[in-house]
Amino acid sequence: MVAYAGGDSAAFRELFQRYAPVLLGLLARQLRARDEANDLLQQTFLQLHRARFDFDPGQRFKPWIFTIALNLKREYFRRARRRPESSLDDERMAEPSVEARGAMRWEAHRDLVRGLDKVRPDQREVIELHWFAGLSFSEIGECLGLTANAVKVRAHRGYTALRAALGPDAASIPLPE
Amino acid sequence: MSYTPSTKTRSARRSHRDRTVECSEIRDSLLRGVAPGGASFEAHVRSCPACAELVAGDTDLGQELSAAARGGPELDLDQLFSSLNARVQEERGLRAWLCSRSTPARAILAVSIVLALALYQLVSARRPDFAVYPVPRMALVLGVYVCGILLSVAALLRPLGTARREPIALAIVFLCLPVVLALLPEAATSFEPHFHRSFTQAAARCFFYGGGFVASIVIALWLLDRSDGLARASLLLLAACAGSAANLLLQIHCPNPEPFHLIVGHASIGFAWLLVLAAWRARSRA
Repeated sequence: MVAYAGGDSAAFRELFQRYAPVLLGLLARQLRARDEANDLLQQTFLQLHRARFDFDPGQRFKPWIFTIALNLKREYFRRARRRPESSLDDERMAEPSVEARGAMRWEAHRDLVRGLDKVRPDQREVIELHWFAGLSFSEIGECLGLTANAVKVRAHRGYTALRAALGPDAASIPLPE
Repeated sequence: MSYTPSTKTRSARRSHRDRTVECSEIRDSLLRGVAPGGASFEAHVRSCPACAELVAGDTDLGQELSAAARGGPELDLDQLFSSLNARVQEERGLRAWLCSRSTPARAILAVSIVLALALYQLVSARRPDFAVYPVPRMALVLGVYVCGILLSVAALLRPLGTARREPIALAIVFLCLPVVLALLPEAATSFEPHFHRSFTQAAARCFFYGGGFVASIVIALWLLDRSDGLARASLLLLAACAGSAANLLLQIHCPNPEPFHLIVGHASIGFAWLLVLAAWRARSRA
Protein backbone atom coordinates (compact mmCIF):
# COMPACT_ATOMS: atom_id res chain seq x y z
CA MET A 1 0.00 0.00 0.00
CA VAL A 2 2.88 2.30 0.79
CA ALA A 3 4.30 1.55 -2.67
CA TYR A 4 0.98 2.40 -4.28
CA ALA A 5 0.71 5.68 -2.39
CA GLY A 6 4.23 6.41 -3.65
CA GLY A 7 3.07 6.03 -7.27
CA ASP A 8 3.74 2.34 -8.00
CA SER A 9 0.69 1.38 -10.07
CA ALA A 10 1.68 -2.30 -10.24
CA ALA A 11 1.22 -2.43 -6.48
CA PHE A 12 -2.50 -1.68 -6.96
CA ARG A 13 -2.95 -4.78 -9.08
CA GLU A 14 -1.08 -6.86 -6.55
CA LEU A 15 -3.31 -5.60 -3.73
CA PHE A 16 -6.36 -6.42 -5.83
CA GLN A 17 -5.21 -9.94 -6.61
CA ARG A 18 -4.38 -10.60 -2.98
CA TYR A 19 -7.54 -9.26 -1.35
CA ALA A 20 -10.30 -9.22 -4.00
CA PRO A 21 -11.22 -12.93 -3.72
CA VAL A 22 -11.75 -12.80 0.05
CA LEU A 23 -13.56 -9.45 -0.11
CA LEU A 24 -15.80 -10.61 -2.94
CA GLY A 25 -16.68 -13.77 -1.02
CA LEU A 26 -17.60 -11.67 2.02
CA LEU A 27 -19.80 -9.34 -0.05
CA ALA A 28 -21.33 -12.03 -2.28
CA ARG A 29 -22.51 -14.12 0.68
CA GLN A 30 -24.57 -11.22 1.97
CA LEU A 31 -25.60 -9.37 -1.17
CA ARG A 32 -26.44 -12.49 -3.21
CA ALA A 33 -26.72 -10.62 -6.54
CA ARG A 34 -23.24 -11.06 -8.06
CA ASP A 35 -23.18 -7.86 -10.06
CA GLU A 36 -23.97 -5.83 -6.94
CA ALA A 37 -21.23 -7.62 -5.02
CA ASN A 38 -18.83 -6.95 -7.91
CA ASP A 39 -19.82 -3.29 -7.88
CA LEU A 40 -19.25 -2.97 -4.13
CA LEU A 41 -15.88 -4.68 -4.53
CA GLN A 42 -14.90 -2.13 -7.14
CA GLN A 43 -16.13 0.70 -4.93
CA THR A 44 -13.96 -0.66 -2.11
CA PHE A 45 -10.84 -0.46 -4.24
CA LEU A 46 -11.89 2.88 -5.66
CA GLN A 47 -12.13 4.21 -2.10
CA LEU A 48 -8.75 2.65 -1.40
CA HIS A 49 -7.38 4.59 -4.37
CA ARG A 50 -8.94 7.85 -3.13
CA ALA A 51 -7.71 7.31 0.42
CA ARG A 52 -4.19 6.17 -0.50
CA PHE A 53 -2.58 9.19 1.20
CA ASP A 54 -4.52 8.47 4.38
CA PHE A 55 -2.90 5.08 4.91
CA ASP A 56 -0.52 5.11 7.85
CA PRO A 57 2.45 2.79 7.14
CA GLY A 58 2.40 1.74 10.78
CA GLN A 59 -1.16 0.40 10.65
CA ARG A 60 -2.26 -3.02 9.45
CA PHE A 61 -3.60 -3.04 5.90
CA LYS A 62 -6.03 -5.95 6.16
CA PRO A 63 -8.33 -4.46 8.82
CA TRP A 64 -8.19 -1.14 6.96
CA ILE A 65 -9.46 -2.46 3.66
CA PHE A 66 -12.05 -4.68 5.34
CA THR A 67 -13.36 -1.66 7.26
CA ILE A 68 -13.83 0.18 3.97
CA ALA A 69 -15.75 -2.78 2.53
CA LEU A 70 -17.92 -3.13 5.63
CA ASN A 71 -18.80 0.57 5.70
CA LEU A 72 -19.78 0.46 2.02
CA LYS A 73 -21.81 -2.69 2.60
CA ARG A 74 -23.70 -1.06 5.49
CA GLU A 75 -24.48 1.99 3.36
CA TYR A 76 -25.71 -0.32 0.60
CA PHE A 77 -28.13 -2.05 2.98
CA ARG A 78 -29.36 1.29 4.38
CA ARG A 79 -30.23 2.42 0.85
CA ALA A 80 -31.74 -0.96 -0.02
CA ARG A 81 -34.10 -0.82 2.95
CA ARG A 82 -35.35 2.56 1.86
CA ARG A 83 -36.08 1.37 -1.70
CA PRO A 84 -39.48 -0.43 -1.68
CA GLU A 85 -38.69 -2.59 -4.70
CA SER A 86 -35.56 -4.15 -3.20
CA SER A 87 -35.70 -7.54 -1.64
CA LEU A 88 -33.10 -9.03 0.61
CA ASP A 89 -34.63 -12.42 1.00
CA ASP A 90 -33.26 -15.79 0.02
CA GLU A 91 -34.86 -15.73 -3.44
CA ARG A 92 -32.21 -13.29 -4.64
CA MET A 93 -29.46 -15.82 -4.31
CA ALA A 94 -28.12 -16.00 -7.84
CA GLU A 95 -27.09 -19.21 -9.45
CA PRO A 96 -23.36 -19.15 -10.12
CA SER A 97 -22.71 -17.54 -13.44
CA VAL A 98 -19.63 -19.64 -14.00
CA GLU A 99 -18.97 -23.32 -13.41
CA ALA A 100 -18.99 -24.14 -9.71
CA ARG A 101 -16.06 -26.13 -8.45
CA GLY A 102 -18.35 -29.00 -7.63
CA ALA A 103 -22.05 -29.41 -7.08
CA MET A 104 -21.57 -30.71 -3.54
CA ARG A 105 -19.30 -27.83 -2.58
CA TRP A 106 -21.82 -25.36 -3.98
CA GLU A 107 -24.58 -27.08 -1.95
CA ALA A 108 -22.45 -26.81 1.20
CA HIS A 109 -21.80 -23.15 0.44
CA ARG A 110 -25.48 -22.42 -0.12
CA ASP A 111 -26.60 -24.32 2.99
CA LEU A 112 -24.11 -22.40 5.07
CA VAL A 113 -25.32 -19.08 3.67
CA ARG A 114 -28.88 -20.04 4.59
CA GLY A 115 -27.65 -20.90 8.07
CA LEU A 116 -25.86 -17.57 8.34
CA ASP A 117 -29.11 -15.81 7.48
CA LYS A 118 -30.50 -17.06 10.78
CA VAL A 119 -27.66 -15.53 12.80
CA ARG A 120 -27.90 -11.97 14.07
CA PRO A 121 -26.22 -9.52 11.62
CA ASP A 122 -23.59 -8.29 14.10
CA GLN A 123 -22.61 -11.87 15.01
CA ARG A 124 -22.66 -12.94 11.38
CA GLU A 125 -20.29 -10.12 10.51
CA VAL A 126 -17.79 -11.42 13.07
CA ILE A 127 -18.07 -14.99 11.72
CA GLU A 128 -17.50 -13.75 8.16
CA LEU A 129 -14.43 -11.78 9.17
CA HIS A 130 -13.00 -14.45 11.46
CA TRP A 131 -13.65 -17.59 9.47
CA PHE A 132 -13.79 -16.59 5.82
CA ALA A 133 -11.54 -13.54 5.83
CA GLY A 134 -9.08 -14.96 8.37
CA LEU A 135 -8.83 -11.83 10.50
CA SER A 136 -7.74 -12.19 14.13
CA PHE A 137 -10.10 -11.04 16.85
CA SER A 138 -8.02 -7.92 17.46
CA GLU A 139 -8.11 -7.08 13.73
CA ILE A 140 -11.88 -7.59 13.71
CA GLY A 141 -12.06 -5.26 16.69
CA GLU A 142 -10.24 -2.61 14.63
CA CYS A 143 -12.73 -3.01 11.80
CA LEU A 144 -15.78 -2.78 14.04
CA GLY A 145 -14.56 -0.33 16.68
CA LEU A 146 -14.75 -2.97 19.44
CA THR A 147 -12.34 -4.56 21.89
CA ALA A 148 -10.98 -8.03 21.11
CA ASN A 149 -12.93 -9.46 24.07
CA ALA A 150 -16.20 -8.02 22.79
CA VAL A 151 -15.47 -9.58 19.40
CA LYS A 152 -14.79 -12.97 21.03
CA VAL A 153 -18.13 -12.82 22.83
CA ARG A 154 -19.91 -12.07 19.55
CA ALA A 155 -18.00 -14.85 17.82
CA HIS A 156 -18.97 -17.37 20.49
CA ARG A 157 -22.63 -16.41 20.34
CA GLY A 158 -22.55 -16.37 16.56
CA TYR A 159 -20.98 -19.84 16.25
CA THR A 160 -23.48 -21.19 18.80
CA ALA A 161 -26.38 -19.76 16.80
CA LEU A 162 -24.89 -21.06 13.54
CA ARG A 163 -24.52 -24.59 14.95
CA ALA A 164 -28.17 -24.51 15.93
CA ALA A 165 -29.13 -23.11 12.51
CA LEU A 166 -27.28 -25.92 10.71
CA GLY A 167 -28.59 -28.60 13.06
CA PRO A 168 -31.55 -30.95 12.62
CA ASP A 169 -34.03 -28.41 14.05
CA ALA A 170 -32.86 -25.64 11.71
CA ALA A 171 -36.22 -25.32 9.91
CA SER A 172 -37.94 -24.09 13.06
CA ILE A 173 -35.47 -21.25 13.65
CA PRO A 174 -36.80 -17.91 12.37
CA LEU A 175 -34.81 -15.25 10.56
CA PRO A 176 -33.58 -12.44 12.83
CA GLU A 177 -35.49 -9.09 12.83
CA MET B 1 19.76 -49.54 34.55
CA SER B 2 17.40 -46.56 34.88
CA TYR B 3 16.79 -44.26 31.92
CA THR B 4 17.40 -40.60 32.48
CA PRO B 5 16.05 -38.37 29.78
CA SER B 6 18.58 -35.94 28.40
CA THR B 7 18.35 -32.28 29.33
CA LYS B 8 17.60 -31.45 25.75
CA THR B 9 14.62 -33.78 25.69
CA ARG B 10 13.30 -32.39 29.00
CA SER B 11 13.49 -28.79 27.83
CA ALA B 12 11.96 -29.69 24.47
CA ARG B 13 9.08 -31.38 26.25
CA ARG B 14 8.73 -28.38 28.55
CA SER B 15 8.60 -25.92 25.63
CA HIS B 16 6.02 -28.08 23.84
CA ARG B 17 3.81 -28.16 26.94
CA ASP B 18 4.14 -24.42 27.44
CA ARG B 19 3.34 -23.52 23.78
CA THR B 20 0.14 -21.50 23.52
CA VAL B 21 -2.22 -22.13 20.64
CA GLU B 22 -3.83 -19.18 18.84
CA CYS B 23 -7.39 -19.10 17.50
CA SER B 24 -5.99 -18.68 13.98
CA GLU B 25 -4.09 -21.99 14.26
CA ILE B 26 -7.29 -23.84 15.10
CA ARG B 27 -9.06 -22.18 12.21
CA ASP B 28 -6.23 -23.00 9.80
CA SER B 29 -6.14 -26.64 10.96
CA LEU B 30 -9.86 -27.03 10.36
CA LEU B 31 -9.57 -25.41 6.93
CA ARG B 32 -6.86 -27.93 6.02
CA GLY B 33 -9.19 -30.72 7.15
CA VAL B 34 -7.01 -31.62 10.13
CA ALA B 35 -8.74 -32.05 13.48
CA PRO B 36 -6.54 -30.21 16.00
CA GLY B 37 -5.47 -32.00 19.16
CA GLY B 38 -2.97 -32.05 21.97
CA ALA B 39 -2.67 -30.56 25.43
CA SER B 40 -2.10 -27.00 24.19
CA PHE B 41 -5.13 -27.18 21.96
CA GLU B 42 -7.32 -28.52 24.79
CA ALA B 43 -6.08 -25.80 27.13
CA HIS B 44 -6.97 -23.17 24.53
CA VAL B 45 -10.43 -24.61 23.89
CA ARG B 46 -11.14 -24.57 27.63
CA SER B 47 -10.41 -20.84 27.71
CA CYS B 48 -11.89 -19.77 24.34
CA PRO B 49 -15.65 -20.29 23.97
CA ALA B 50 -15.60 -19.35 20.25
CA CYS B 51 -13.08 -22.07 19.36
CA ALA B 52 -14.93 -24.49 21.65
CA GLU B 53 -18.03 -24.05 19.48
CA LEU B 54 -16.03 -24.72 16.32
CA VAL B 55 -14.71 -28.05 17.59
CA ALA B 56 -17.77 -29.14 19.61
CA GLY B 57 -19.31 -32.47 18.73
CA ASP B 58 -16.88 -33.97 16.26
CA THR B 59 -15.73 -30.58 14.92
CA ASP B 60 -19.13 -30.49 13.19
CA LEU B 61 -19.32 -26.77 12.73
CA GLY B 62 -15.67 -26.48 11.75
CA GLN B 63 -16.16 -29.08 9.02
CA GLU B 64 -19.28 -27.39 7.67
CA LEU B 65 -17.51 -24.04 7.56
CA SER B 66 -14.47 -25.57 5.89
CA ALA B 67 -16.61 -27.23 3.22
CA ALA B 68 -18.41 -23.95 2.53
CA ALA B 69 -15.13 -22.05 2.37
CA ARG B 70 -14.03 -24.32 -0.48
CA GLY B 71 -17.33 -23.80 -2.29
CA GLY B 72 -18.65 -20.76 -4.09
CA PRO B 73 -18.36 -19.65 -7.70
CA GLU B 74 -15.17 -19.08 -9.67
CA LEU B 75 -13.91 -15.53 -10.04
CA ASP B 76 -12.80 -13.74 -13.16
CA LEU B 77 -10.28 -11.44 -11.48
CA ASP B 78 -8.82 -10.10 -14.71
CA GLN B 79 -12.16 -8.87 -15.95
CA LEU B 80 -13.00 -7.37 -12.55
CA PHE B 81 -9.66 -5.63 -12.39
CA SER B 82 -9.88 -4.19 -15.87
CA SER B 83 -13.27 -2.60 -15.20
CA LEU B 84 -11.96 -1.30 -11.85
CA ASN B 85 -8.90 0.12 -13.57
CA ALA B 86 -11.14 1.90 -16.07
CA ARG B 87 -12.98 3.57 -13.18
CA VAL B 88 -9.70 4.57 -11.54
CA GLN B 89 -8.46 6.09 -14.82
CA GLU B 90 -11.63 8.22 -14.96
CA GLU B 91 -10.64 9.82 -11.64
CA ARG B 92 -9.47 13.10 -13.08
CA GLY B 93 -10.21 16.75 -12.50
CA LEU B 94 -10.55 19.02 -9.49
CA ARG B 95 -12.89 16.82 -7.47
CA ALA B 96 -10.73 13.71 -7.94
CA TRP B 97 -7.62 15.65 -6.89
CA LEU B 98 -9.28 17.22 -3.87
CA CYS B 99 -10.86 14.08 -2.48
CA SER B 100 -7.63 12.13 -2.84
CA ARG B 101 -5.82 14.54 -0.48
CA SER B 102 -5.22 13.22 3.00
CA THR B 103 -8.01 13.71 5.55
CA PRO B 104 -6.13 16.33 7.61
CA ALA B 105 -5.46 18.34 4.42
CA ARG B 106 -9.13 18.16 3.41
CA ALA B 107 -10.30 19.20 6.87
CA ILE B 108 -7.88 22.14 6.99
CA LEU B 109 -9.07 23.29 3.57
CA ALA B 110 -12.74 23.15 4.61
CA VAL B 111 -12.17 24.97 7.90
CA SER B 112 -9.98 27.58 6.18
CA ILE B 113 -12.88 28.60 3.97
CA VAL B 114 -15.09 29.13 7.03
CA LEU B 115 -12.30 31.07 8.72
CA ALA B 116 -11.80 33.28 5.68
CA LEU B 117 -15.50 34.12 5.52
CA ALA B 118 -15.61 34.83 9.26
CA LEU B 119 -12.58 37.11 9.00
CA TYR B 120 -14.22 38.95 6.12
CA GLN B 121 -17.29 39.56 8.29
CA LEU B 122 -15.14 40.75 11.19
CA VAL B 123 -13.11 43.16 9.08
CA SER B 124 -15.66 44.46 6.56
CA ALA B 125 -19.19 43.66 7.73
CA ARG B 126 -19.15 43.63 11.50
CA ARG B 127 -22.38 44.35 13.40
CA PRO B 128 -22.58 47.99 14.61
CA ASP B 129 -22.89 46.96 18.27
CA PHE B 130 -19.88 44.61 18.17
CA ALA B 131 -17.81 46.81 20.49
CA VAL B 132 -20.48 46.90 23.22
CA TYR B 133 -21.86 43.36 22.86
CA PRO B 134 -21.17 41.24 25.98
CA VAL B 135 -18.00 39.26 25.34
CA PRO B 136 -19.03 36.09 27.27
CA ARG B 137 -22.30 35.88 25.33
CA MET B 138 -20.54 36.40 21.99
CA ALA B 139 -17.88 33.81 22.91
CA LEU B 140 -20.57 31.29 23.92
CA VAL B 141 -22.60 31.66 20.75
CA LEU B 142 -19.60 31.69 18.43
CA GLY B 143 -18.08 28.77 20.34
CA VAL B 144 -21.22 26.66 19.87
CA TYR B 145 -21.26 27.33 16.14
CA VAL B 146 -17.52 26.64 15.80
CA CYS B 147 -18.07 23.28 17.55
CA GLY B 148 -20.91 22.51 15.15
CA ILE B 149 -18.72 23.30 12.16
CA LEU B 150 -15.69 21.35 13.39
CA LEU B 151 -17.65 18.24 14.43
CA SER B 152 -19.69 18.21 11.22
CA VAL B 153 -16.58 18.57 9.06
CA ALA B 154 -14.78 15.84 11.05
CA ALA B 155 -17.72 13.43 10.71
CA LEU B 156 -18.30 14.23 7.04
CA LEU B 157 -14.67 13.84 5.97
CA ARG B 158 -13.92 10.87 8.23
CA PRO B 159 -12.28 8.22 6.06
CA LEU B 160 -14.05 4.95 5.31
CA GLY B 161 -11.07 3.02 6.64
CA THR B 162 -12.07 3.78 10.23
CA ALA B 163 -14.91 2.08 12.08
CA ARG B 164 -17.80 4.52 12.06
CA ARG B 165 -21.39 4.86 13.06
CA GLU B 166 -23.94 7.09 11.38
CA PRO B 167 -23.72 10.41 13.30
CA ILE B 168 -27.32 11.32 12.54
CA ALA B 169 -28.08 12.41 16.10
CA LEU B 170 -25.08 14.75 16.06
CA ALA B 171 -26.21 16.32 12.80
CA ILE B 172 -29.76 16.86 14.03
CA VAL B 173 -28.50 18.48 17.26
CA PHE B 174 -26.38 20.99 15.38
CA LEU B 175 -29.13 21.64 12.86
CA CYS B 176 -31.49 22.57 15.71
CA LEU B 177 -29.01 24.45 17.92
CA PRO B 178 -29.48 27.83 16.18
CA VAL B 179 -33.20 27.62 17.05
CA VAL B 180 -32.35 26.98 20.70
CA LEU B 181 -29.86 29.85 20.83
CA ALA B 182 -32.43 32.17 19.19
CA LEU B 183 -34.77 31.55 22.12
CA LEU B 184 -32.22 32.63 24.74
CA PRO B 185 -32.97 35.96 26.49
CA GLU B 186 -31.61 38.93 24.54
CA ALA B 187 -28.14 40.10 25.50
CA ALA B 188 -28.14 43.33 27.51
CA THR B 189 -26.29 46.05 25.62
CA SER B 190 -26.34 49.84 25.53
CA PHE B 191 -26.87 49.77 21.77
CA GLU B 192 -30.20 51.10 20.53
CA PRO B 193 -30.96 49.33 17.27
CA HIS B 194 -32.88 51.14 14.53
CA PHE B 195 -34.23 48.81 11.89
CA HIS B 196 -35.69 50.50 8.85
CA ARG B 197 -36.83 47.35 7.06
CA SER B 198 -40.01 45.40 7.67
CA PHE B 199 -39.78 42.05 9.41
CA THR B 200 -40.08 40.16 6.13
CA GLN B 201 -37.46 42.24 4.36
CA ALA B 202 -35.01 41.99 7.25
CA ALA B 203 -35.45 38.22 7.64
CA ALA B 204 -35.18 37.63 3.88
CA ARG B 205 -32.05 39.77 3.69
CA CYS B 206 -30.31 37.77 6.44
CA PHE B 207 -31.57 34.47 5.04
CA PHE B 208 -30.14 35.04 1.56
CA TYR B 209 -27.01 36.80 2.86
CA GLY B 210 -26.06 33.95 5.20
CA GLY B 211 -27.36 31.18 2.94
CA GLY B 212 -25.50 32.58 -0.07
CA PHE B 213 -22.22 32.96 1.75
CA VAL B 214 -22.19 29.33 2.90
CA ALA B 215 -22.81 28.04 -0.62
CA SER B 216 -19.03 28.13 -1.04
CA ILE B 217 -18.65 25.91 2.04
CA VAL B 218 -21.28 23.44 0.83
CA ILE B 219 -19.63 23.22 -2.59
CA ALA B 220 -16.17 22.81 -1.03
CA LEU B 221 -17.34 20.01 1.28
CA TRP B 222 -19.07 18.24 -1.61
CA LEU B 223 -15.84 18.39 -3.61
CA LEU B 224 -13.82 17.09 -0.67
CA ASP B 225 -16.23 14.24 0.18
CA ARG B 226 -15.03 10.90 -1.20
CA SER B 227 -18.39 9.19 -1.40
CA ASP B 228 -20.30 8.80 -4.67
CA GLY B 229 -23.69 10.36 -4.07
CA LEU B 230 -24.78 11.79 -0.72
CA ALA B 231 -25.64 9.27 1.94
CA ARG B 232 -28.39 10.23 4.38
CA ALA B 233 -25.91 10.99 7.18
CA SER B 234 -23.73 13.08 4.82
CA LEU B 235 -26.78 15.07 3.76
CA LEU B 236 -27.63 15.94 7.37
CA LEU B 237 -24.02 16.74 8.24
CA LEU B 238 -23.64 19.05 5.25
CA ALA B 239 -26.83 20.89 6.17
CA ALA B 240 -25.77 21.11 9.84
CA CYS B 241 -22.38 22.49 8.83
CA ALA B 242 -23.98 25.00 6.47
CA GLY B 243 -26.43 26.09 9.17
CA SER B 244 -23.71 26.48 11.81
CA ALA B 245 -21.47 28.42 9.42
CA ALA B 246 -24.29 30.72 8.28
CA ASN B 247 -25.32 31.45 11.87
CA LEU B 248 -21.68 32.08 12.84
CA LEU B 249 -21.35 34.66 10.06
CA LEU B 250 -24.69 36.27 10.88
CA GLN B 251 -23.87 36.43 14.60
CA ILE B 252 -20.85 38.57 13.63
CA HIS B 253 -22.84 40.60 11.09
CA CYS B 254 -26.45 41.10 12.21
CA PRO B 255 -27.41 43.19 15.31
CA ASN B 256 -31.09 42.23 15.35
CA PRO B 257 -31.71 40.34 18.63
CA GLU B 258 -35.40 39.65 18.10
CA PRO B 259 -36.00 35.85 18.50
CA PHE B 260 -38.48 35.55 15.65
CA HIS B 261 -36.05 37.28 13.30
CA LEU B 262 -33.24 34.95 14.44
CA ILE B 263 -35.36 31.85 13.82
CA VAL B 264 -36.75 32.86 10.44
CA GLY B 265 -33.76 34.73 9.04
CA HIS B 266 -30.85 32.85 10.61
CA ALA B 267 -31.73 29.44 12.09
CA SER B 268 -33.82 28.36 9.09
CA ILE B 269 -30.80 28.45 6.76
CA GLY B 270 -29.61 24.98 7.81
CA PHE B 271 -33.06 23.51 7.13
CA ALA B 272 -33.27 25.29 3.79
CA TRP B 273 -29.96 23.79 2.73
CA LEU B 274 -31.21 20.39 3.88
CA LEU B 275 -34.16 20.70 1.50
CA VAL B 276 -31.96 21.91 -1.36
CA LEU B 277 -29.47 19.05 -0.90
CA ALA B 278 -32.24 16.45 -0.54
CA ALA B 279 -33.87 17.67 -3.75
CA TRP B 280 -30.54 17.59 -5.57
CA ARG B 281 -29.85 14.06 -4.32
CA ALA B 282 -33.30 12.84 -5.34
CA ARG B 283 -32.86 14.33 -8.81
CA SER B 284 -29.40 12.88 -9.31
CA ARG B 285 -30.60 9.39 -8.30
CA ALA B 286 -33.72 9.49 -10.50
